[in-house]
Amino acid sequence: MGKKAQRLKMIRRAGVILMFLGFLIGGLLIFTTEPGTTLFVVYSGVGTLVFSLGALMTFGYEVFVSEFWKGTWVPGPGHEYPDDP
Amino acid sequence: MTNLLSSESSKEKKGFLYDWETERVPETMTRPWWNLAYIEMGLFASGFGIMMGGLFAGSNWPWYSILSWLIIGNLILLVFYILIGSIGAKERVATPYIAEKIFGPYGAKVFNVLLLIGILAWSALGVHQIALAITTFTGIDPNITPVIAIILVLLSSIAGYKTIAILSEIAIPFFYILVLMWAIYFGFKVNWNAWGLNQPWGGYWPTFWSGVTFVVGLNIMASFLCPNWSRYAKSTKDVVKASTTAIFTGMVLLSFMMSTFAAYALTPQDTFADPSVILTRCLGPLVGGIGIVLLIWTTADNDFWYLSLSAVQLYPKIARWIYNIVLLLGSLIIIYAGVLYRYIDFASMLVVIWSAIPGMLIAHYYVLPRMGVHVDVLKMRNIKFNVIPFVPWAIATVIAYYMSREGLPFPELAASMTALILYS
Repeated sequence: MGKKAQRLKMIRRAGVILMFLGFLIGGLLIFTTEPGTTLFVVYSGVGTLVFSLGALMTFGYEVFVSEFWKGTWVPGPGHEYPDDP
Repeated sequence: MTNLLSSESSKEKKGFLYDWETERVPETMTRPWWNLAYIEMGLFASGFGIMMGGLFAGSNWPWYSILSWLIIGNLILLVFYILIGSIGAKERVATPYIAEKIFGPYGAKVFNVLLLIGILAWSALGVHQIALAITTFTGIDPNITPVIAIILVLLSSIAGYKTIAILSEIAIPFFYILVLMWAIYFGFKVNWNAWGLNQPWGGYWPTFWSGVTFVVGLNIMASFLCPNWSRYAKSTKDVVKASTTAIFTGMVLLSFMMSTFAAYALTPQDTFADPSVILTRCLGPLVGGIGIVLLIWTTADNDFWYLSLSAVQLYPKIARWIYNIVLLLGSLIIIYAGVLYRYIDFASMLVVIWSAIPGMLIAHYYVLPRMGVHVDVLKMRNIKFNVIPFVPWAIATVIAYYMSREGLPFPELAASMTALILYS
């Protein structure tokens, strides 16, 4: 496996961790609050930010690769990661 | 090897903004099935899902009836989405070019002009709704927010599938995990008496089947646009997986769960199931604002993508992304000119014409070949303008119009089936 693919796999793994953290904060801790309270706003807001960043790193990992912006590669079946030059 | 190299260098030349709008999507540019599902879910999301939740929550029908409407209605829709989506996976070209196989290259231009006129109204409405949401949540002057909304939609639709996918890859997990958790949270806090109280913001469905008709009618027309995204599928199996996932999570789960938000947020004093009001009352201005903008944004960018693909078929020498910008500027003019809602009234009248198209597509790709007619028959006979499909199209439109006027169930489905039979 090339260096690019390995780097992208690490980015995706970090993304999954962030999504999980965001889920804990925004999806579970919120059950300990009442709607409209400051804690509710903080948990939902921070959860949204952390979770969305994680989602970008996990699912939208193509944005971290220059080939994607050149239009020469997109992730897909059989071509999940770009080759090293 | 030489072919591969020339294909690679051709890809280099086409660049990031190219969306394979005038040729087949190559194998190396196909996307995984879950990514296709994200695109489709983004199209289905929209603020309309929340509004529909509001209509359901105050409709005087029990929750299990609503759930049945959604499941039965979406099973019918799924058949159309899979059959027509598979055409896209097989042909690997967008709907405007598939239309050429039925209408001929010049006949398809008529189809695409009608599509442009009809859908531009809804696309401009999406931009306007994003602008209104931004004004509500930030207090920015409503004369400025349409420009901000245009910039947002431009960013996510400029490169077609590529940029729409980036937005969906962030927004869809957010909707289906976090927002869903919040729906469960509010489920414990909701005043469940809101169900069955026939609230002023609820929908009116006199019979069980009128509810199913509502669910089917909303989305059957969108099925003929499936090839616009399914051309990026590697196989028909991927289309089946993507459509099934998208329809049952997007329409059934999301619409049903959204009624929880609506039942919590709306009061008998509210007369309209306003998505912005529902999300703000539940989640506050910041997260509610992000939620509503994302919901409408993921739908609006799909709309402009489809429109620009139709524009390319009219005059393919101009790149799709340029049409994309022009159409966005056009919608800005419509909003600033103050004619948007009159335009939407006109587009609503035009909606009745679309139900026939899915029927004719199914007939052309699944029935005619069994009768010995090749799908490329027009090209083989060098027919540029095929008049024949305009006849079943007109008859099916009249049927849909009269059935809707008389309040009969499934007018769109009847129109589609009529077109399928007559065209065959």
